[in-house]
Amino acid sequence: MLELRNVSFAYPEGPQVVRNVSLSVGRGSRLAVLGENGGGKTTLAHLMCGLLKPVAGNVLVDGLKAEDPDAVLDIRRRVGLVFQDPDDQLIETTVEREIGFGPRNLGLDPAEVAARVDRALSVFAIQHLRRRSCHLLSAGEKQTVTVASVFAMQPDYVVLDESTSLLDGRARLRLVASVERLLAETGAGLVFISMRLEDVWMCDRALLLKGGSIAFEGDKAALPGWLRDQGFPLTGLSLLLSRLDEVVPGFVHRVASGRALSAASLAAALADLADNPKGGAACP
Amino acid sequence: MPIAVEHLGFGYDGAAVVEDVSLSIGQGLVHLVFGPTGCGKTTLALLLVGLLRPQKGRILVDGADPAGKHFNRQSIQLAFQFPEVQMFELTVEKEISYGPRNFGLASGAIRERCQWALDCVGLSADFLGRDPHNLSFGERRKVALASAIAVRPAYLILDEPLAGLDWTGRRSLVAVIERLKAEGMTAVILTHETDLVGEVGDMVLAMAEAKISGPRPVKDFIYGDPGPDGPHVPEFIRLLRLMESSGFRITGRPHRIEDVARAVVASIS
Repeated sequence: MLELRNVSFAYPEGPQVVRNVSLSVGRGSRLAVLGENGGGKTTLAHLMCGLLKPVAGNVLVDGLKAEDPDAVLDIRRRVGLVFQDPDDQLIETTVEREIGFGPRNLGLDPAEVAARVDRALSVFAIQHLRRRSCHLLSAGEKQTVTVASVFAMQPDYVVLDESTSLLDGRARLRLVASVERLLAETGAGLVFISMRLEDVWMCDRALLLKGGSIAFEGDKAALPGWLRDQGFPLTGLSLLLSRLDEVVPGFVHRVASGRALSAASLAAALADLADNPKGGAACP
Repeated sequence: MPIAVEHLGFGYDGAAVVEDVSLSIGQGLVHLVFGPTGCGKTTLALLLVGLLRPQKGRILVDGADPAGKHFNRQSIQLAFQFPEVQMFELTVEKEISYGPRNFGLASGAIRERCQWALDCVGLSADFLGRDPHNLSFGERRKVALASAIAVRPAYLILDEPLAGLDWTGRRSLVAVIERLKAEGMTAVILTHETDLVGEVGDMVLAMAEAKISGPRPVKDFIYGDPGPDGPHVPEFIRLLRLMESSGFRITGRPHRIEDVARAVVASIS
């Protein structure tokens, strides 16, 4: 269990950017963290993997305390963070070496490192980038490489800090599907920080930060209605989902869970509505 | 034509990013340049503002070479994809006023521009005294945009301006583009976020395999060839096509997201 108990944080001489936040993510569960720019999302991500220490409250990873210096390395091994800006994370010369960096540093033998690299390249469909220089990749390619690198370490909890923000629509759906596949395989827990309701539709629960405090927490299905009531300016498929849920109460429950919200999943939910207007197929 | 691209060729290490591309960008319109990750949008942006020189062909902005020595840099401004690349001042106020200051505006006018630009991007005046390097990614992005527009360029080039912006930031961006368009500015927005066409834009250009097609009007882009499965068709338009093929009747040919939402709701009632 990755747990935050009444956690607050302020940068030196700054105001509090995280205020009394409590949350928990078990292995196999998925939590979406949404919020506006400057809302404290990235700070929260850094607290979760022990990069920052809370000024109040506790961060616990499988019972290990983040403020305990002896536990920090173990926590970093358990919690894999994908940085918001890929350039903060990419250090190796080639994509292949970059993905192998984490596994090598975990002390795995070369054959296992190679297997992890091959697997990551294949799941994220980036075999063609294998020998390319990390620093000459496009922004979206860099982002995919950073996600692949963290998964190659097989952490127990993965924290994605806006890891789809630099990808185009198709690439975003592909990345979410790859993440989904690896989570199902490894049973890792996920914290998915994002501003896109479409992407975090793959999560079970959602939390929205405002000014560092939790403004919403609950089942992600309740989020479109809450965002609408609060007057959030949604766009694209999120706006359509929210409007449909307004005219057809409970519509969100017809939209397939566990994957990104896409034209295909929304169209399937609408077809289900036409075939079965009263009931509403329960989604998996 | 205000921006003319003639037989443009550019590549890195022999791999072509653009090859024999000719196009023109009309004045006073908002242009969306769509292309998948890695197709060369940033390279095109750098070429348009003269930070890279064409290897073949030429680019003319109001008849002048943007990479030339005597080019009037005030006329075209670029907001970079990664805002930290362009930040170097110690306060937000200095950062935003850097352009106006260097183009010789009076101090009163500089202050005015600064406040106007900050207001346009939806940041409060409290930000003026803050260190841009201590802001969040999204806040830095807003400051970068404010710096670019503070110069009041005739042409504004935005490289992937939505990445990292929150809902209100996105709405402010659309509003600021519309506001500047009303004042006669020409905008070129390079993005993979094809959904943006549901909110803003007059013309669409599409990049793929070292070629750029267009510009063509938004409606023509969405409802013309190559049709609904073209690589740049936004998800919400794809949804309309999928709905039609399963028997829903969609009235009209909506392309702005609010109209699409109305059409979708109408089709199920």
